Parts: sequence; C-alpha cells; structure tokens
Amino acid sequence: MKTMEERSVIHSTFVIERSYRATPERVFSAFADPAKKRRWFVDGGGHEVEHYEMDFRVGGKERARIRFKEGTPLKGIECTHDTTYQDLVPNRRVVFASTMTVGGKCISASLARFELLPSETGTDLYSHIRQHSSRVPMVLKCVKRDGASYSTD
Amino acid sequence: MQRKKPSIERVFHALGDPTRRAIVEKLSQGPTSVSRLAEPLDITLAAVVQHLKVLEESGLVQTEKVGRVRTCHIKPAGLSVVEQWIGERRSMWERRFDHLVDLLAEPDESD
Repeated sequence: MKTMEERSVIHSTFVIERSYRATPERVFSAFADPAKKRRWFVDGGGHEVEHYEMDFRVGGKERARIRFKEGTPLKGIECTHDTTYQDLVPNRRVVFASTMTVGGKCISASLARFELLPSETGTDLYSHIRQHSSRVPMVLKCVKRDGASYSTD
Repeated sequence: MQRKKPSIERVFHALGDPTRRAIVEKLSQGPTSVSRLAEPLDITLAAVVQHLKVLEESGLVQTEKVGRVRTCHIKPAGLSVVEQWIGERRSMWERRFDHLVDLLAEPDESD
C-alpha cells in the first residue's frame, strides 16, 4: 500500500520566456560548452559542486552533484541532477530529460525543451519545462528539521 | 505596528517592486538578517527596512528581533504548501536564467 508520501506527486509546467542580448550561437554555446553551462545552470552560492560532467550529444549525459552549505535550509544534504539529451539542433533547440535526487531519493523527473529564436536584439529563449515532483513532504521535513523556511502556518 | 489582514492586493503591491521581489527571492533560500539582505542589493539599511515593512504588511515576510539582530523569514500566508513548492521550483529556473544573463554579458573570445 502506498504511503501518503509516495502518492504525493505534483505536476507542474513552467513556460519561461527571456530575451538575451547575444546571438543564438552564443546562447547555444552556453548550453553546449560544459564550462559555461555549469556556471549558469549548476553553480550557486548556497552549495558546493562536488561533481560535474557533460557529454553534449543526443543520448549523452550531464551529471551534477552538489552539497548544500551551512546556513541553508538543506545544509549538508546532497543533491544530484542527471540529464540525458533527447534532441539537439545547433543554435535552435535543446531538449533534455532529467531526474533530481535529494538525500539520495528521487524528487523530480522533468522534460525540458528550449527553443532559441533570433530576434532584433539578439535571442528570444523560450523554455518549456514539464516537471513531476515527488516526495515533497519528505523534502519539506528535511527543511523543517533544520528549523528554517517552508512554514505552513 | 498594527497587523493588517493579508489581502491579494497587498501581496501584489508588495511583489510589484523589483527590490522587494529580490528580497523575497533571497529569503526563499532561508532566513536572513536585515543587514545581510541589504548587502547584495546595494541599498541603504533604511531602504531595506521600508521594503520589509511593506512585505510584512502583505503577510509574505515575518521579522523578529533577537538581541540586536533582526532576522527575516518567508511567511507565505494563504499560500498552500503545493503552491509554495511550485513557486520554489520555478524560482530555481528563473535564477538560472538570471545567471545566464550575467554569463552572456561577459566578453566572448569568439566574438
């Protein structure tokens, strides 16, 4: 019999449109070049990146492992993000499927599609992300145990 | 300070300002002191206090003083846990696209 936690799956779709003052070639290279991709997609002030690798081709994988720092709600906890590239059209489209784990447990599976459209000012980036989040109560419990945010009152 | 009833209008007003959105974004990563909020925003402490007053009135943020330090944390009155969670997921993506702005603003050898 499934527990409440296992039954709780949240389906979300995010559509995010942004305009960048850079050519589609440069925006695409921010996806294709591991040194660049890591900087905007993985690096962050609240965590240490313990592992990062990327093989940018259809069927290739991007793997990231981070650990949250002191002073953050999930301090000390490890988080992984594994991606498999589904469709790549140079300077036009990136599609990938990802899973994310927190503390070793899978918390989301996503399908992300990015379309790069040339514009007068550079590039319009259209991002469509379909995300299935599971084990939300578990992650919230991790956060609450540290006494930080995610208050429900 | 008289505590006003949270209303959707007050929440929209609170979030209509980019500095207040930046404050809420920062607080979504965990509780922070008022002075630590001011640092990255490059505005005066007095300005942050004003913004926090609006955010507190909207029910989005709560502050408390322990000794000499005032700490702020997110208090999403009326938002369900699910909406909260989704908001956080979306914020993560928005942050990434913000970082991409900074990366692309750097000069590129191939240009």
